[in-house]
Amino acid sequence: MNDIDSSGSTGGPAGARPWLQVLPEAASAEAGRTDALFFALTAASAFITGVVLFLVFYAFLTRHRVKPQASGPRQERRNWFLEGGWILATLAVFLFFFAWGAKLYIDLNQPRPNPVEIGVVARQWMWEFHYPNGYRSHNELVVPAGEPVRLSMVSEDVIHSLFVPAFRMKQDVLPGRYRQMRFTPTRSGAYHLFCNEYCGTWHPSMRGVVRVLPPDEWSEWLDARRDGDFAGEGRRLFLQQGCSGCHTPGSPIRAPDLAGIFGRLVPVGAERRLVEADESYLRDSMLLPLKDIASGYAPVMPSYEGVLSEAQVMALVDYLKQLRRSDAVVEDAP
Amino acid sequence: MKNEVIPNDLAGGRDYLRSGTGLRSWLLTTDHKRIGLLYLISITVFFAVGGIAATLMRLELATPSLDLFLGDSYNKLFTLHGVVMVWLFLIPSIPTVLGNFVLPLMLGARDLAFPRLNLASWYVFNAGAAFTLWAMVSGGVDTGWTFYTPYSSTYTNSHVILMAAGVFITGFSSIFTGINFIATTHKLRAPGLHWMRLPLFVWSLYATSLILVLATPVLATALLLIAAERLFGVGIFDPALGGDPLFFQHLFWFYSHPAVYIMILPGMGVVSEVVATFSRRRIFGYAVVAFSSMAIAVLGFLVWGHHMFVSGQSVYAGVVFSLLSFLVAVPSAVKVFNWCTTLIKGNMRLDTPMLYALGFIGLFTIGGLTGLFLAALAVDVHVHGTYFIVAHFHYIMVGGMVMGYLGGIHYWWPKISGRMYHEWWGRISAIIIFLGFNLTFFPQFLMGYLGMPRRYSHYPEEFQPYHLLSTAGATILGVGYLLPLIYLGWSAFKGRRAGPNPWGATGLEWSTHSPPGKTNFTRTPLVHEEAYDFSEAPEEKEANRAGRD
Repeated sequence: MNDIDSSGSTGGPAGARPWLQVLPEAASAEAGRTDALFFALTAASAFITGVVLFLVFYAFLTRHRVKPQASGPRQERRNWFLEGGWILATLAVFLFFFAWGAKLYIDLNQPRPNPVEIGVVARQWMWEFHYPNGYRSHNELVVPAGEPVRLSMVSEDVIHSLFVPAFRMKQDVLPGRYRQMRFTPTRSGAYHLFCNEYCGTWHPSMRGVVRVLPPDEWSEWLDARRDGDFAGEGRRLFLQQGCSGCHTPGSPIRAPDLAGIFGRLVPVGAERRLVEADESYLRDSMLLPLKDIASGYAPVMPSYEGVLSEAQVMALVDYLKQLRRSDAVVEDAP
Repeated sequence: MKNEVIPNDLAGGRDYLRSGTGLRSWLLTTDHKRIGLLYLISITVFFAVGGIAATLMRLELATPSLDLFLGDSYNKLFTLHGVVMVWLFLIPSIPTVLGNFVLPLMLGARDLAFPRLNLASWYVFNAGAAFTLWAMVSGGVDTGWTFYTPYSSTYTNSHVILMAAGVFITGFSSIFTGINFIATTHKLRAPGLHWMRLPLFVWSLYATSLILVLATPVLATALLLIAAERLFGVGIFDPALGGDPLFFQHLFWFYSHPAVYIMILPGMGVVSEVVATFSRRRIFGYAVVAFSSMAIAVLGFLVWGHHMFVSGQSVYAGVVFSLLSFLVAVPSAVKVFNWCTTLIKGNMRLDTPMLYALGFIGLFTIGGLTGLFLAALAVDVHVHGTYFIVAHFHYIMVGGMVMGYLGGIHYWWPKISGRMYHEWWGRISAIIIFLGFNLTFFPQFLMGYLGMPRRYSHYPEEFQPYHLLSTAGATILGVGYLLPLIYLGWSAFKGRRAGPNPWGATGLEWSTHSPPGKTNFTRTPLVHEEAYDFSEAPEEKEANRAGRD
């Protein structure tokens, strides 16, 4: 993490900062859309607050009396027209903002085509990022500008939350299951990365930096780390933990061949339901193998729960992802 | 009010403060008015404890680095602040002090339906509070008031069980109070006081009581399950034991979101009373305001998932909870419009309670509108868990509920103590609180959108200007809260005598003595009028009363 050129090594936006920053930088495709909704809500709220203040001051200026006196009829006439009017008007404005917010939220959670896939393991109190070539970085996430990124995140202990204000994105990171976060960085630079869910003593120190690099620089940066210490770990584990004993064509125990498995639709269960072999599916197949048995295979896979750490599981998933470009064609089970 | 006139003599010539002296007569009392005062003492102490914790946090946050505390101590402080303020101050505040005191008077009753249960609720409340304070002095708890699992159930080494026991026990006192208010409102209304003649404060207490009775058991369940996992290793929330961490959040917010309405509905009720009295006008749209309290109570049970938009629940769940959250905001908005219309149609006087009520209307409007930001899904993804939400709920809880509570205390103080406080001190402190509050919390909206996460004891430098403003505001706010303690305390002994109805208000509580006799009324009042009948000036009213006598 020391070989990326940047002035802001402590995290946060690089370069001179005004003494009072009012708005966060916008460094993702999503940021501008969220800001637009935010400003519209601010304008509507300022207008409504202004109306309420105006009414209060107007009442004060015109209706203020020092001496109490008789006031108003004995019974208020019911004004259903007025009541109904502002109920409907409020409802209409609220529904408009609901629809806008919901549309953006659904979009945020839509899969993007061909994303850069990066794994995230959170633990008290650090972030670990797994890149497609097996490289790992800590407390520093490096992503290419202009390309969709998908993070698959899991925690090894308590709930954490990954928050990048400049992207207007956050997602809680849970133990025991993968959660996705999708964004498209747009501007090169260094930005804050915070843990946003209270996770214990050093929660406020669980910060890092997101570096957005131009795409070619990013590829260079990543290629320079191809032969790092971590790159081969998934493959080592695949052999050490005995995965290769069964998951190899021609082995005595019949198990699905895993070459090219990642991202494919796999039939599971007796009813041959199709599920996508994504990170969650692969993780659950290692730790909770009985959850979804690949159709046509016997439920003989042992559970690796308590044997493999989340970081090791992610290393194995990384390895299986690399196998995806292999030209071995896996046949569907009979 | 041209109701049956109540003769101005107290049974035995003694008001409730003087009928029976000595500690025993207070600690064993079943008089709802005395129990209200006992609660007033308890929650004032807890407000001070929570306030001191807040002050220490604001001091730590004045600089970006960690200087006053270790990380753990800061974490324990914000947990303490949250637990004490929510369960030992906000939830009991208006219902147990003002509700206890005023509800039977408003209904023309001699006491609540179950006076002994009422006294029991105070003891249970203090027993729960004792556990909470025990947890505090024996080392504290560092989970945050939300107790999120699996941190609280498996990972932390702090005194979660003690603290949870405290909250669990306090819950029973909430349930006792809720049951008592519901039964009293149904069964002890004076003849002629039918539902659509009830003061709006009674409606809001009734709606609050329904939530207290229905939601509190779910919190108790959640806390018991934490204890089961922590003590016996039963796998409920921790995935390492086969549990589901999100399950806790569903249980917790199924209680804690309705609890937000426990904390704001009574404040709305106070504002309705005060706005009517100091505008000398029936609340515009009485029925709509009354039913909006009930709508809030019901819809409030259906929106808990909006606390979990980024916690990993499904996108569809998020969309549905967002829609319901926008819907629950409609009845609140309707109340604000109706209050404003009442102001415009009435004749305004700016006594201290009215200043608090107007402060409530302004701050609650901002708090409510920023709630829409949080309900709007994509914006919530950015501001969830930041200072934006800290500012939002303080605008509702402190700007709304505490303003409503103080307004109510000042409004009914002549009835409670029989004496008037110093009006100018009252107005000055109301204005100081309003200004100090805004200086404390408005900057937090800005730093929240900038990305400052909550529950950080140290933080990046660019947030410091906002933290400094906030700390400065908290200092002013602290002064504003101390003043009423002084001048109200002084007035209780030295203040000018108030007389039965110093504000020229309507409502049965103003037709009896200040302070009232032990049994409130010497004769059961009869009600002939709608609530808030200001069709006559106060002098005419007195004359009419005398004529009828």
